[in-house]
Amino acid sequence: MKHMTRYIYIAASMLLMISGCKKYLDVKPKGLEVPQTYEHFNGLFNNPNLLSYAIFMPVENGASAGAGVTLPVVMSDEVRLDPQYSATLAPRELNAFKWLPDIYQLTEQPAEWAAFYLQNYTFNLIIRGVLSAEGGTDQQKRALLAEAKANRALMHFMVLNLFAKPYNAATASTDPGVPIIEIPEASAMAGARKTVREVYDFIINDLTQAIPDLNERTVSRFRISKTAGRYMLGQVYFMMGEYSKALVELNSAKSLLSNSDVPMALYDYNVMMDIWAPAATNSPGIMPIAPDNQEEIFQKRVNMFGFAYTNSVFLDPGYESIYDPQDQRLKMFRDKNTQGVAIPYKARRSPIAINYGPSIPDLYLMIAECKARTGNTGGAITDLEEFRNKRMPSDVAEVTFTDQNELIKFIVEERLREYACTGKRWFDLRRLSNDPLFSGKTYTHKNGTETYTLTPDRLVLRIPKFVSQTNPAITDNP
Amino acid sequence: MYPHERILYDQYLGLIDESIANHRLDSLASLNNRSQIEKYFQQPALLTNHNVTVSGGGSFHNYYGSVGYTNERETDKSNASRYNINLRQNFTITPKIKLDLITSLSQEDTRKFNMQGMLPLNSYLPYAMFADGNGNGLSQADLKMYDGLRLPAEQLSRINLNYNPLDETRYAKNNNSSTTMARVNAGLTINLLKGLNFEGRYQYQTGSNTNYTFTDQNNYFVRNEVVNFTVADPLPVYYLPATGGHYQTGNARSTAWAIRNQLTYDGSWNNEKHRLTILAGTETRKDKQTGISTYTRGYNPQTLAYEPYDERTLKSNPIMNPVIGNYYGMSLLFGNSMTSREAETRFVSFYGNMGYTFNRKYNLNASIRMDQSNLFGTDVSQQYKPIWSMGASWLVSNESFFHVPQVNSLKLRLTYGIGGNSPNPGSGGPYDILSPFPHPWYTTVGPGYQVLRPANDKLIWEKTATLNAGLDASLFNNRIELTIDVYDKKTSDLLSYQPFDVTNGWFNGYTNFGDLNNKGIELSSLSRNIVSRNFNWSTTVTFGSNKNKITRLGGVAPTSPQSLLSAGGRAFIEGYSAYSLFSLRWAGLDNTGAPQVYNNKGEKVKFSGDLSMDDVSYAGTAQPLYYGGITNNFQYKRFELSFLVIYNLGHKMRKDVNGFYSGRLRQNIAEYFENRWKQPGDENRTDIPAYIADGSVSGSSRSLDLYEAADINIVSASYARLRDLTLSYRVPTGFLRELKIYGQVNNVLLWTANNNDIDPEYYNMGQMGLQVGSGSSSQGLQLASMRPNRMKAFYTIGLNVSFK
Repeated sequence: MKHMTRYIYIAASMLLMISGCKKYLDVKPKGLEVPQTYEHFNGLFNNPNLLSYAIFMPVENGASAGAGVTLPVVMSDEVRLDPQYSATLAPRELNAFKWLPDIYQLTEQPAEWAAFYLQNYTFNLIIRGVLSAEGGTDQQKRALLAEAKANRALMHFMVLNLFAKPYNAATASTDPGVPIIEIPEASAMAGARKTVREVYDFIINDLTQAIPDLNERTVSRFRISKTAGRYMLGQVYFMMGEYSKALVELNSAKSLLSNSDVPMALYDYNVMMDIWAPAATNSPGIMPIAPDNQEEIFQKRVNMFGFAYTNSVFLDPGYESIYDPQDQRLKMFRDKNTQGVAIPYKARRSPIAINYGPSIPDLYLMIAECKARTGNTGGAITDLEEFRNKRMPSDVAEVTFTDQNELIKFIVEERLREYACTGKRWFDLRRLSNDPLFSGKTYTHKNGTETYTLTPDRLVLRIPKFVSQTNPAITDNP
Repeated sequence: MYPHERILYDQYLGLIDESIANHRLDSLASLNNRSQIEKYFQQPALLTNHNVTVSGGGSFHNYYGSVGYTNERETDKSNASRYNINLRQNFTITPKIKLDLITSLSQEDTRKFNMQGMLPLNSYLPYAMFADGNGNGLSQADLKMYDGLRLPAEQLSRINLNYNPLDETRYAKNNNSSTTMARVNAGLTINLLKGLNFEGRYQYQTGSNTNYTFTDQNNYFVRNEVVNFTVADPLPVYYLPATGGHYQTGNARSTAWAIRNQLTYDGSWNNEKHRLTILAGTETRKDKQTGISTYTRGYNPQTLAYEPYDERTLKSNPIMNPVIGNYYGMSLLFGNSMTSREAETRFVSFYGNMGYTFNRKYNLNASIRMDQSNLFGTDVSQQYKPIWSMGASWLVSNESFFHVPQVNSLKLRLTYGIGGNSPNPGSGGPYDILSPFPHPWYTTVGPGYQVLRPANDKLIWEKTATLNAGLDASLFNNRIELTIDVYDKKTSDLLSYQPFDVTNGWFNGYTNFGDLNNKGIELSSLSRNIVSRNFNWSTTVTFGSNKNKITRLGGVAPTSPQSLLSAGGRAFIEGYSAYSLFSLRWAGLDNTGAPQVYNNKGEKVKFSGDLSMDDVSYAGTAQPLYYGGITNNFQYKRFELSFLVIYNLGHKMRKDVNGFYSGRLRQNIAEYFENRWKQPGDENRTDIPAYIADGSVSGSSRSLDLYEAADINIVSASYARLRDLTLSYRVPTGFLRELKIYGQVNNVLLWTANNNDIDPEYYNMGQMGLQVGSGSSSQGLQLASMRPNRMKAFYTIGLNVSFK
C-alpha cells in the first residue's frame, strides 16, 4: 500500500507536467515576429527592400540585393554602346540593347519580372491582415490598407508595361497582360495572364479605392500619400492615352503637393548645377540622393551606379542636338571619365539612382502634355515654361509653338531631355507607338559598326524562361 | 597590376621587346614561394593529450574521476589548449534507492592566426616571394592595388598603402577565445515495487565564451579602410579614425537543462514463460543561447579608449569623392557596431515502450513517441503527431525442433514503424515571419520590418514508414557473430527549401516536395578466426548497400538542362536517385577551342542555351552504392596489431576541372592548364578549352559549362582507404597494473578508381567550378579551382599507464 501511494504520486506529477506543456512551449523568440500589430503592418512599408526596383533576398538583420530593373535604360532609343566599353554590361543588358527576343539566360532570375512580384507579396500580406491588426485606430488601419492597395496597383502597372503590349483600347480586352496576384500565397502556382484590360481595370480599381483613405500629408518620400495616389492614377490614365482623365488626377496631385512634411519643389538647376557639378569635376553622383531630393514625391528607384560609374551606356550623338547648349541638364553628362580621360560619347553621370515613382518634374511634364492634348495649348506652354525656367537660363526657356501637334512633340522631346539615358523614355516609346502623331518612326541602336532596329514585337519583353518553365500557365509573347 | 601582367603590358606597349619580356617572365617562373609559405605562415601540426584517471570506493559510494589536458597546434598556426575535469559518483543510499552524480568542468583557450584578406595559400601565386635572403619582408603591394592608383592615393590621403605580408603577420588579427563549460548530471533510480522502477535524470549545463580580435592600425585593411573614408580637400579629411585599430569583442552564454522522468517495469512469471517490459516517460528540455558582440574602430589597446566617428551618416549617406571608393566610387560604411542575439528552444517529449516475450521465443514490442517544440510560427495541430513502431521477433534456436549444432543462436526480427519530421520551427508554417529591418531613412515613419519567410499553411509532416527485417546469428561455437538487416523506407512529403513560382512573390521556400524510397541491406559480422593462447586473429566486416529513388516530385520540377547539370548533384528528378548526376555527351573542341557536345539528334552544340532536357543523360549517382569497412585484429603475446580498411564503391563524381579559361590570371592554377587548346588543330589532341583573355568575348563565343558538365568529366568515385593502423605493446611490469605503448598511423593508403589523383572522400562538389547561367562577366572572373590538399597521413604515439 505504501508503494502504491508513491506510485500514484509519481503518476500525478507526470500528468501535471503534461497539462503545463502548452504554456511552456509558447515562447516567442526574440528578433522575429508574426504580423499581428499595427506597428508590424506599418513597419512593412518601412522596408529598404521596397525602395528600389531590384531583386532582393531577405535575411535576418538585412537583405542581399540582386539585379535591378535596368533593361529600360538600354532599350530606350537615345542610347548607344561602344564595343570597347561594354565589358561591364550584363549579358541580358547587351541582349536587350539589341532588342533580341530572348534576353535572359535560362536560369537567370529576371529582375524586370521578379522585382515587382517580390514586393507585391508584402502588399498583399498587408491587405489581407491589416484591418484585424491589434492596436491603431480604424482610420490608421484603413490608411495602411489604402497604401498597400496603391502599392499593389503600382507593381502591376510596372510589370504590365514591361511584359504586355502598350494599351490599345481596341485590342486591350484580348491582348495578354500579366498575372494578377492579390493573395499572399507563396507556395502556390500563380494563375495565368489576364488581359491588358483586366489588369488596367484592377489597377484603376485598387487606386480608386485607395485614394480616399490615403494619408492627406506626405510624411516621407518613402510612403504613399494622397498626393502620390492621385499622381499614380493620373499616370495610369496618361499611359493609357486617356489624357483628359489623367489631367484631373494630375492637377489634383499638384494642388496637394504642399500638404507635406518634407520640402516639395523643383530645383533651379541654374543655381544648383554650380554646386552639384563644378566644371572641374567629372565625378558621378552629383545630385542629392533618396531622402533629401525635394523633387521626389514617392521613391521607387532604379540604381544607375553601374552606368554612372563605368561609362558603358552613352547618349547617341544624334540626340545631343535636342539640347540647347545652355541647358543645365547637359551637365548631367560627361565626356571624360573620373580620371579625366576622354570617353567616346557623352555618358550620364547623375543621378546615381533614378526615381521611377512619382516625381515633380514628371508631374509638370505630364500635365503640360495633357493640357496640350486636350486643346489647352496656352496652359501647356505656361506650365512648360515654368518648368524649363528651372532647367536653363530664362532666355532659352521660352516656348513659342502655336501648332498643337508641334507643341505635343516638343513636350515629348522635353521629357527625353529630362530623362535621357535613364530608361524612362522606354515607357514613352511604348505609349506613343499607338499615337498617329508619332507613327512611322523607326528606332535604331548602334554599337560600333553594328546597327539594330526596334520591331513592334520588341516593345514587349518576352516572358523569361525562368518564369514560364516554373509555371507553364504563364504563356509567352510573340 | 600583378608583376607578370606588368611585363606583358610593357611588352604590349612596346616598352620592352619580346626577349626581355620572356627573360623577365622566366625569372618570375623560377621563383617558388612554397617553402616560405611553410616557414612563415605554417607550423607542423601537433596534438598532445594527457589523461589521468582514478577510481575507487566501496559499497555505499564509488567514484571515477579523470583530469585531462590537450594541446593542439594546427598547420595554420592556430593553437588551442583544453583542460577538463570529470567526476562520476555512485551512491547506493538504500538497496532500493540509487543515485549517481556526474560533474564536469572544462576550459578551452584558443588563439587563431588569421591573415585577413590573404589569398588562399594553396593557390597563392608561386612567384610572390615573402622574404629576401636575409628574412626581411618583401612588398606585395602590386597584388593588392595597381601602383598608378596606389601612389596618388597615398599622396592624397597621406596614408601608406604598401602591403608586406610578413609585416602584416605582426598586425594581423589575433582571435583569442576562451570557453568555460560546466555540467552537472544527476540520476536517481528508485525501486518502487518488484520489477517497477522510477528513473529520473536531471541535467544542467552552462557555458560562456569570451573572445576578442584586435587588428592593429598598421594592418593593411585598417589603413585601406581609412583611405576609403578620406576626402582630399586638398588636405586629407578623415571620416574614420586615422589612428587606433579595429577591436571586436564577443560574449556568448549558453544554458541548457533537461529533465527526464520515466517508469519502467520488468517482470516475468510462470517461470519466465511470460515476460513483460514497460517503459513510459517524459522529457523536457530547454536550450538558451545569448550573445553580444561589438565592433569598434579607432581603438587604442593601451589607453583602452576609442576615437568616436559618425556612424549614422557614414552608413546612410555615402561619402562622395573619397580618395578610393568602396562602393561605386563612393564610400559607405557597412556592418554593425553591435549585434545581439538570443535564441531559445524548448522541447517536451512523451514516450512509451512495451515488450512481451512468450516462452523465451516469441517477442512482440511496440513503441510510441510524441515530440513537441516551441510553438512560434507553427500550429499546435502540426505538433501532436505521434511516431510509432511495432515489431516481432522469434528466437528460432530456442525451439525444441531446432537441432543445428553449428548454429548457437538464431533470431529473426521484423519491425514496422512510422517516423516523422515536423517542419522546422520558424522555417515555415501558417504564419509569415517578420524580422526587423532598421534603416536611418525611415526614422520619421516608424520601425521597419521585412517578411523573412512566407507562410505556408499547406506544410505537413515529413513521414517515413520503415519496414525492417533482420537476422541475428551466432555460429560455430560463437566463433562467428552475424547480423543482417534488410529495409524498405518510404518517405513521403519530403521537406526542404525548394524553388517557388516567383510570380507569387518568392524565389524559394520551405515546402513538402515529394516522396523518396530507400531500399537497402546492412550486414555486419565478427569472426574469431584464430583463438589460441599466444595468437589471436579476429575480423570485423561491415557491408551496406542502399538504393534510393525519387518516386514522386511535386512543386517545381527542373525544366532546364542547366538545373540538372548544376554542381551539387542534387537535381531531384522523378524516377532517379536523389543524388543523381547528369551529363552531356562530349563532342570535342571546335577549331577555336570552344567546347561542344552532342544533342539527342547527334548534332554538335556549342551553346548551352541551345540544349533541351532531352540532350542530358543520367550519369550515375553521387551516393555510394556499396560501403563498409573491414577491421583485422592480430594479437601475439603482448603485441597487438589492428587495421581498418573502409570502402565506398559504385558511385560517380564530376572531375574538379580547372575553371579558369578567361580573364586575369591572379592565382596559381592546376598544371594541366598548360595542355589547353592553343592553336587550330589542337582540338585533335586536347579536350581542354582555350584561354580567351576578354571575359565578354569568352562569354559570348562559347559555353564553358558544356565542358564542365560533359561525360568525359564524370569519373568513378569508388575508393578504399587504409584508414588506420595501430601497433601496441604491453610492457611487462611488476608494480603497475598496465603499461601500454602504442603507435598509430591514420590515412595510410588510398586506392581510387579514378586516374586523376582525386581523393573522393576529400573532394568537395560544392567547390566545383560549374557555374551555370553565369554571364560573360562572371565567367571572366571565375577563379581557377585549386584542388584541396589530400587527406594527409598523421601519426600518433601514446602511452597508457594504469596504477594498481
